[in-house]
Amino acid sequence: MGGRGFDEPMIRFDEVTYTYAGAPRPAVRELTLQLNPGEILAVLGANGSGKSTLACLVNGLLLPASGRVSVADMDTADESTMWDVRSQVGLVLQDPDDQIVGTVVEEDVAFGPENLGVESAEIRVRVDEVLAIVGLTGFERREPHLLSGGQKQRLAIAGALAMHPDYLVLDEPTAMLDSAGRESVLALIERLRAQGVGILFVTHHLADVIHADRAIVLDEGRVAFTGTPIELLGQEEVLASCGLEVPPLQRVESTLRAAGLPLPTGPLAVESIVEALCN
Amino acid sequence: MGIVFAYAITLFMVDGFAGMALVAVLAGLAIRASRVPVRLVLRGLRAVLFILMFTLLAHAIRINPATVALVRLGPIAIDPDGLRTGAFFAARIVLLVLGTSLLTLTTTPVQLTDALERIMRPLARFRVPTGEIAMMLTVALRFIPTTAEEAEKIVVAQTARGARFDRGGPVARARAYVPVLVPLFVNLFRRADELAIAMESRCYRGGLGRTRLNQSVMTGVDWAILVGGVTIFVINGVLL
Amino acid sequence: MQLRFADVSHIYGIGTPYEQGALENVSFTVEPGTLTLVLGPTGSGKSTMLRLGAGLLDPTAGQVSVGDSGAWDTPSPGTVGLVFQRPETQLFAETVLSDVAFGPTNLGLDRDRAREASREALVSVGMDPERFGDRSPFTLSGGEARRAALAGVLALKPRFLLLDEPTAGLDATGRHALHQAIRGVRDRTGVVVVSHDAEEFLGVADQVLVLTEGRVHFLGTREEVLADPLVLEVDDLRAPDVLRVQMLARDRGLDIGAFSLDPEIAAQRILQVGRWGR
Repeated sequence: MGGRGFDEPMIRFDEVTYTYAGAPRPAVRELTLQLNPGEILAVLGANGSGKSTLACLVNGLLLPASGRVSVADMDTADESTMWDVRSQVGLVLQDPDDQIVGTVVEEDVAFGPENLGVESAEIRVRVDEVLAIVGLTGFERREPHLLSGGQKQRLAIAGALAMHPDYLVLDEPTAMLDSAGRESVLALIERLRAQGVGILFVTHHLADVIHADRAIVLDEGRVAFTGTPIELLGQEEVLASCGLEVPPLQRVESTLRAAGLPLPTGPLAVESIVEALCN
Repeated sequence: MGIVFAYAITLFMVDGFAGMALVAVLAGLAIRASRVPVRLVLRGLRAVLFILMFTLLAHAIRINPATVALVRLGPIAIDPDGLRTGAFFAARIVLLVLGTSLLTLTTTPVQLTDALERIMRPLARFRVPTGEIAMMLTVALRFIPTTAEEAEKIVVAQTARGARFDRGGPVARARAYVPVLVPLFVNLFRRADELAIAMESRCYRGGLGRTRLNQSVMTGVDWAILVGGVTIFVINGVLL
Repeated sequence: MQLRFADVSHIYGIGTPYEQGALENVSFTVEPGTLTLVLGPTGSGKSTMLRLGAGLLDPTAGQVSVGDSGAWDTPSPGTVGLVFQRPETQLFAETVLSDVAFGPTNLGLDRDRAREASREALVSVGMDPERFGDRSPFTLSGGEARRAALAGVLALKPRFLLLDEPTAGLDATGRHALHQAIRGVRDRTGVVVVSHDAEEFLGVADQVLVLTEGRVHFLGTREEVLADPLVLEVDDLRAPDVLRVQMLARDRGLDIGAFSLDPEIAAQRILQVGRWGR
């Protein structure tokens, strides 16, 4: 990532701590991180590591007990800019059924822009545009309960994109999906990367990390590691202690690397590994 | 939608066959205007066929009447006055069902809630949260199929654990559904919380200032039927 | 004792205009003490097969039965246990113990015997009845709730256990706990795991069944799958990545020999063939 000016929009956490009411420990502790425009950041951690809390802190649904969360220099705790923050940060939750409000697809996508008071004709343009991005063109009048899991999740993402946010926060977007659904959502994330949308996605699937520019691992509310995906996948002890498992393919890759096999920088797909083997 | 309300009220205000005939004409026109196949509209009557027969016979049949009968079969007779009354009530039911069938066949849930919101708008002056109510209705409608699916899944899962829903008297049967209703409601409440988070994240802040993707528009035909309906309402109330 | 599908077909709404075929001529057997992995994309008939296996449906053709050469019977909650996807959403009782006891109670056990069975079931999924028994099921974490729901079915002491995507949505710790629970019951029970993802359970499966569009695409042992992993790749299903690397390497001329599911072993075999490594 090239150098960015100080006044470029970005998401920042400065020493953020948050404790749920009645909880014995803070969910998030003195957390500091930064998401730059157009960057994809993966937040990993076992269940209970604080990663979902992080997602809700980004757009101000939860406010830090101490520290500061800011989006494009707007403090999330500032009530006067609350709705600006929320329109710039689209949040997509784990269970798509918990987010779909409309009785048909296009009505649900329109929900966000309608709340922002966008004009009818412009809403139409946005709906068609985001449905094309998520690959649901033609589904405008479909009722949501007739969609597959992957389609529902892409609909939820479309609903967030329709507000034209600078950032997208995805909380375990593939958790409820089968492999076909997962692939379609991960492919969508790749397409969004090309669009310049900054994405923060939370997951416990280590394999998803290959779609990110940077990754951080949370353990009991603190940052245990931060770096590129390939650096992360090499850190087996840190991962194990944080309750994460290195996927089998990456274990093959690291065993081959450790033996001295010249492999391009990873993480690699099956084809790339075999390609390197045959040369 | 307002038309349907007025339609229904009119039907109950009508006293004689003449008024009924007028309403029938209006219904016929509305059906033509909607371009819904008559077959589909009439299908709605199938559900109430039993009630219709029952109404007719309940009024028409007399045991040992004093007045002149049309037909006699031992003590059971068909009384012409009763038959007329029965026919009247039956006709009212028919027209009522036709009207509401037409409504559900031509209107999407969104249009229904839209119309409800429009009708309720005057209430906003009295601080009634009409926009929010309309939103609640939309969301409720949206979740009906999803909730039905969940309920079915839970019933099947509990059946697999040996639960029986067909045994015992009414109290026992009601109790048998506790293992289904409790998780269903717990999930619904949890879902409501998550939905609220999702809606707030998408900047929902109540009904004010919201625009709409699809604005509903009254066409000429809509106006004609509206005017026709109001006219009949007036005629019935004032003249008949 | 076996769980047997004999030439089973099932059509929903048969005879009505809404007919929809779900399974066609499916035959296979499950023995106690074994684990059968059933793979198939969405729509392949997996959930119909589960419902038939638990006796919740009667097949429109063929027979599903539990028993042996002496006597065959239709499956019932006492003989075949079924755990659906995300079963934690079906917990309802005031305490974990009474929820787990729901099954045994339905089967006619008296209160004390039902509670005893429930305690045993909780132990078998790694949950201490003293710690968890009196808690409300709604205070459990995702992984704990999942295991409590599993205990609810195990308390019925079924001879056969059908699991629908048992590890969906669990993190690494939750998955380990679930695998351990399955290992614990396996010696007495015939386990069937239904999944769309081969990677997780292939290593512990004795028998593999691949369904596509309601029909059997492949039925065989794990060894047979390892000999030719292509049998797993039908519709949008893919073989586990570890196998795909070895398959592709073999296609490109590297003579790896027998495939392994273990990533380190697979990597070593590849290195030996290419004579890289020390």
